[in-house]
Amino acid sequence: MSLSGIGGASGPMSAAQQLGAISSAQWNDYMQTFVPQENLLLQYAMDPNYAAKQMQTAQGLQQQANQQASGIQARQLAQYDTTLTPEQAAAAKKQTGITGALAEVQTANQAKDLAAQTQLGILGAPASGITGQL
Amino acid sequence: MSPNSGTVAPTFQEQELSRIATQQFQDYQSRWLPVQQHLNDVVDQMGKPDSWQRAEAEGKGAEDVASQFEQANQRRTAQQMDRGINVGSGAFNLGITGSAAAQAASKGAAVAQGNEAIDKAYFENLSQIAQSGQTVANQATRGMSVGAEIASREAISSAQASNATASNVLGAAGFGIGALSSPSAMRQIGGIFGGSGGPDISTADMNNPAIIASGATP
Repeated sequence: MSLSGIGGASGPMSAAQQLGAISSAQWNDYMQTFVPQENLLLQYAMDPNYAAKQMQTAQGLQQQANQQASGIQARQLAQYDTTLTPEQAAAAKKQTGITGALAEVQTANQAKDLAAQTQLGILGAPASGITGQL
Repeated sequence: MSPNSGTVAPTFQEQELSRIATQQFQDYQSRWLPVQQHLNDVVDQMGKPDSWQRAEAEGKGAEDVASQFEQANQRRTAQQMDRGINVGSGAFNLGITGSAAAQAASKGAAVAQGNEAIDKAYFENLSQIAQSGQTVANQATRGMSVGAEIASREAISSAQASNATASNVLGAAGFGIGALSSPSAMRQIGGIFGGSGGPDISTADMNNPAIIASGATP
């Protein structure tokens, strides 16, 4: 908000009017600059699907990494100029699947806990006892 | 209210307060508000799924894991050689496959943690912005409160002056508030408007042309 009225063509403002004009301008700044950010924060804090979205994202990232396991394995084998026998390949595939699945679960759980903590942190002092309710 | 409507002018402190507050606000608007808006933009950008900060954090996580596993693999290979486990043997090959699976799992966890670290930083920044916003909002309401207090004092002063003027006028005519409450005042009013202390005029008399023409009381 412009404070051009102060000492402008309409004449000088009284102290009360001047403080009122500044306060109005400050309030407008608050509404325009800060309230949208506050709303974003509150939106995240109250979003019932936030933890699920975070879990999904983390799980997706873990899946991408898991898919790279065979590539990492192939490069390392090639480094030593060796190949897997069919039995070794089957065992490796099983091991990779189990490790990947466990990693997915662990990463998703970690994301859920962090999401709940974040939401509680926005709402106020984190209380570990009610984490599961969010 | 016009600037000089009150009989009590703003004090020197009040005038200085409004002058300094104006300067402070203008300074805030010209110097700090653009910085604040820039920070808001940076934080907004940071929170986006494809932000460079997120990509960097995820990339760093992946890089750290790759580096750690590279060193671990070299150590493992050296230990296997020492133990007589040859390249191409089942133990050697399964060592490689196990390590690759573990590396992928660690990489996924590190990337997810990098992603979550950016979310955390994003919310912390948003919280900081919200706190700054609360300070601005509080300042606005405090300033409004002080302004209202000054205005109220001026208005009360103005109203008192107005009351005093009205009271003086009424007092001169015998209608002061104090005078109204006394029996003599009531008689005085009656003397003018036909109360008990003075002559009575009935509505019938008011319509009597003779009485009206003579100006006499009945």
